Amino acid sequence: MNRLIKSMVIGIVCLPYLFAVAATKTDEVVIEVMDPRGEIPPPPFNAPAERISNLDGKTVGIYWIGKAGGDNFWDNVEALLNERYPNTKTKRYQGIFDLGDARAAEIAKEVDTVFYGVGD
Amino acid sequence: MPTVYLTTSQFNENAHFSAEDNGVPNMRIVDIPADEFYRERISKERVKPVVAKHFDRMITAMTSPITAEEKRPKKVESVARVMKVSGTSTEDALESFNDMFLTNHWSDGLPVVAPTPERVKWMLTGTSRSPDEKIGSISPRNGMATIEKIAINAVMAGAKPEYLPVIIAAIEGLADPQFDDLHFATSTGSFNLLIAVSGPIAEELGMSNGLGMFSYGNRANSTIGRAVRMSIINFGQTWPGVNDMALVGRANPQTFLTFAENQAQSPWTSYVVNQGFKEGDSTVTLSVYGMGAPQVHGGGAVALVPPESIINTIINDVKTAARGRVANTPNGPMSRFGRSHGKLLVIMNPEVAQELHDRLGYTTRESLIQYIHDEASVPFEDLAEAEIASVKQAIESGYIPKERVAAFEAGLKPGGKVPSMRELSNIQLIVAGGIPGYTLTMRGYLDGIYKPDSHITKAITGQTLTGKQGGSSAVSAR
Repeated sequence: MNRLIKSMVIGIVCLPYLFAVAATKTDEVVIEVMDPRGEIPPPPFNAPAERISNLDGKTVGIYWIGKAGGDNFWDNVEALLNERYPNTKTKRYQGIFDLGDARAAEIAKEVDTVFYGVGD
Repeated sequence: MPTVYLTTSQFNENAHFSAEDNGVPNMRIVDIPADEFYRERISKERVKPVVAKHFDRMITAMTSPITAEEKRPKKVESVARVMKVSGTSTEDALESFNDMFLTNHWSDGLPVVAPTPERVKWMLTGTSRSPDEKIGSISPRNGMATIEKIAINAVMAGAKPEYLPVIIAAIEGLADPQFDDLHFATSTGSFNLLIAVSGPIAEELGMSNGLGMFSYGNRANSTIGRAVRMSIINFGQTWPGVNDMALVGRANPQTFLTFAENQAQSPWTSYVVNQGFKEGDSTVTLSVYGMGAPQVHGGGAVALVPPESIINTIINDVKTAARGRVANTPNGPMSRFGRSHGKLLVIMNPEVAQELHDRLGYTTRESLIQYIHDEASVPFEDLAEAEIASVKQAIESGYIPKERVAAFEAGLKPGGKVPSMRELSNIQLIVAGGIPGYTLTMRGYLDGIYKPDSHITKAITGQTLTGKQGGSSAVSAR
């Protein structure tokens, strides 16, 4: 009997809390937060340059930043180019990650197309 | 010029970002799988099959016509200035907010404080500067830092409004065109940033500068550094493995090493004065240091190490680092002596500084650095031919500043000594730590890699909640 009364008392005491929790769960809580990112003004758009239709008779530039082992890769690229396109010349360049406008302009005068290898 | 950009797959996303940021978002990029390339690059023979496998992709990228889609600009996604995050309870909404920010790469991996408009407004009470003021762009993606955006990131970091002027000054340092904020934040090497606060504001904010100065548990140290990291993430838009390519990450990634000068126990004038500002000004210094752990000098609590031996160790380090070794090359013996200089950050324990001042007579920081400079200079008679040649080349190339040429030329004569330091500012010395403690030296490159400098000090201005308001105009000095 005592146990039954105790259970009823506990039930009555807890009832409001149960209703409160249920009510909270059905309510949507909305938080407003501000965008933390700095604005990046989009640079003027440039489409990729038109491609050359084939490599025959063309000069292919190969630019590499000179990190270890990369020369082994590019030596093979150059060999394959010479093998598959006997009339194609290659010209190798090495320099820093960002070759800069002046050097880019110089290279553009010397070759028809470029492989630009900078990905470490 | 038709160009094909070659990269490894690890750098593919980075390459696309770079192309986008430089106005060619549809650049033809061929990525070579990293797990195929790196191991095999060791020899021409081993990497041959990798080239053969991907050669046709390279040729196609070079010769197939540009499509109509490639000729169209990409749509730029815009995000509302204020966003709404909802949940079934406050806890649920906060969890959703943290998930959203982390998923979008807007936070640092630890939970952040929600930058509500009210809390950002509260943060802005710490500065007299206009929320719209533009500070500058941050590398690598050049997002614009404004006072309001810095305040948003400061809120996220858990900072208080009175810290905001320090955080703003640090961002001014990052955005300064003289300071290389690109290399340390993106390099494959674990280069890193040190943040030192000097002047009265450090004490006003209760910054840690004594025992455990690099430790956790100080809100100002932790959240000023964290706000700088958060700003780099959100203005530079860095992310590990995307464009922050540190192969093993960077130590103290969320907060950097952020500490204050221990002026109260320093025998010398504040670093503020050393950097060309007025006594009583407050400054924040940013300095890039290298991958190696700091070198520890002194015996701490357990051993007696005389200051003389600490200084002699530093002198030997400066000399060794500057001279390197003479290497035999196809063009004959070569040296880099005189042509390549590092920076040495000395975080000097106050006990050592006091001994140097009181007992050994170094009444100023500058006199100690001059002594290190003189002792680290190398007698002409000790120089190898290749070293003499490289010093001459350094002078001829203009690498040695005009005002220092005479000192270097004087060293290239019998009885002369060639400096191991290009300038006295090659050593930056800040007194910090407790008693007992350790003196630390940290190496870094002297000149920046992509921009001129690797070290900058900025005045803290616009304080509204701490004692000294205003301050001298923001100027930088190495």
